[in-house]
Amino acid sequence: MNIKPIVELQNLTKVIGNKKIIDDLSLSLYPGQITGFLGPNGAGKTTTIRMMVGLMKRTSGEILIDGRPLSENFEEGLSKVGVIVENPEMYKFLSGYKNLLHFARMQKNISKERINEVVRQVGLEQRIHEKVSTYSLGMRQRLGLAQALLHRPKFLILDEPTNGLDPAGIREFRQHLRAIAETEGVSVFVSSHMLSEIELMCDRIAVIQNGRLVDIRDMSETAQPHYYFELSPAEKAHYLLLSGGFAPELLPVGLVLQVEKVQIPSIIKLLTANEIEVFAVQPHRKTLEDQFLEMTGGGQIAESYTK
Amino acid sequence: MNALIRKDVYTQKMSTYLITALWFIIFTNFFTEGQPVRHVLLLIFAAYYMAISTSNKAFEKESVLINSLPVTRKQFVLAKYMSGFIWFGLSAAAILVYIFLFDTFAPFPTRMMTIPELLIALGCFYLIISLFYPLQFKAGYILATSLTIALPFLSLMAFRIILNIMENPRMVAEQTFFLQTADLITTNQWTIALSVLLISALLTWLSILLSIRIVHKTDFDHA
Repeated sequence: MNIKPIVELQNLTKVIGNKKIIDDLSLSLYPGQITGFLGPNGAGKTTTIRMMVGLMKRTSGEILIDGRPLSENFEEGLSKVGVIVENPEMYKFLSGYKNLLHFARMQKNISKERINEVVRQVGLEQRIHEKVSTYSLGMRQRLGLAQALLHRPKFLILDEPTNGLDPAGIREFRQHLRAIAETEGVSVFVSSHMLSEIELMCDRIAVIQNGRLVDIRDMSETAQPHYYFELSPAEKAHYLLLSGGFAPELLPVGLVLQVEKVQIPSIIKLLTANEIEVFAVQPHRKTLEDQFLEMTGGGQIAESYTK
Repeated sequence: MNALIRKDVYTQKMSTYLITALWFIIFTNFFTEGQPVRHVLLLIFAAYYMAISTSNKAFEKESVLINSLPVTRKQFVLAKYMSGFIWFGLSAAAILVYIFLFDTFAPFPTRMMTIPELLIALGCFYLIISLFYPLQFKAGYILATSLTIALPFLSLMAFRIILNIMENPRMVAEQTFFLQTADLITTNQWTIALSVLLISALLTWLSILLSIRIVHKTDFDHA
């Protein structure tokens, strides 16, 4: 990728006691992308995010924001970052508007017009002058998002933003986030342990397991055509296709191939010419769950949330 | 930095101001006594109470939010100490108005606070918060409050004991000592005020350095 990354994590490591919580994690995040940070509970997502915004000290490694080390330019670096760490803690006895006004005062050049603009963006116009204690969790998340956006960040970090939201709230939050990414052009880094949420929201995923970055891949890879071949004997077909330069994935009663549609007739000819019986060929979409299991070797995730 | 200092004023709960009014009742014995020492103690602890109320049980959660903003930890700590001046100023204003009203309308003797008395109160207030903040940053709000909240009650108790001694005809030696001490304080108010301020400034400076060190090492890992 030729675009300059807005954030770079370089060999980030966090050791607590004798335990390595984050192990040599390197990751680049680019403008205009929504990157999902996926991993099981306890994998190190929140720790990584807290190190990115200075809430936790790193043991070693560096964080570059817009090309400059955060350790040397903390204030300038963080002025380009908006963040929601888990459920945003606002002052419940103040109205949503007063909360935003309060946070606007703590940052430079935020006008009342800008406050009104972010309130509109997150769809809180009707309730913004009511006390936060009367808000639903979804509304508090949207208020947190508004606060994170006040200073027009180039980079937005959301740690488990949909925790505790009902399906309607998750959908609403996702739509707001998409709209903000498109209209504000910010790079978004969103952590979650919910596969379906990441799948619907993100352009790219980074998977972390036991503090190590397991894989990074574009979601467009998921959309590339895969076909399921029901055939017998599958092992023979697998060997044959491997020799033919394909990369088949062997399943118990067939295999999956990433090929273009026009290649299918010639593959069938090759298989039948080698006495392999082909019973069916059908499009196969690799779900994020398939990909996640591939990457983590079967690592657990809170999939129950996605059903 | 200015916004960070004023933050606590903007987010102070109305109930804190109402509860602070209770200190007036306790320290003035239901608005019936107007000895200057009562007003000094009242000022110290009204300011102290308002200052620590901004660092209440939600402090850890608020700290996560504040420290995820473009704010250095040094600024975060300094703002806490600096905002003490705001709480002291507000308390002093309220107490001076109260003394004026008491002096004008109440049938009990009193007088307006002197500048050295205000400075002694300021020094003592900073001595207490110099103890409170490092404790809070290191061990949390509950422990810091538990260890420092006893101070107003201890000082009131000491004051009551001295009053009892002064009324006891069998304790002439002690009465002489306290009268001499009171005389010394009255005649050397400026010396005492400046000494208290100097000691307070030194300890506050050490406390700030200690708090910065503690907060710098802190991982905000709970939201």
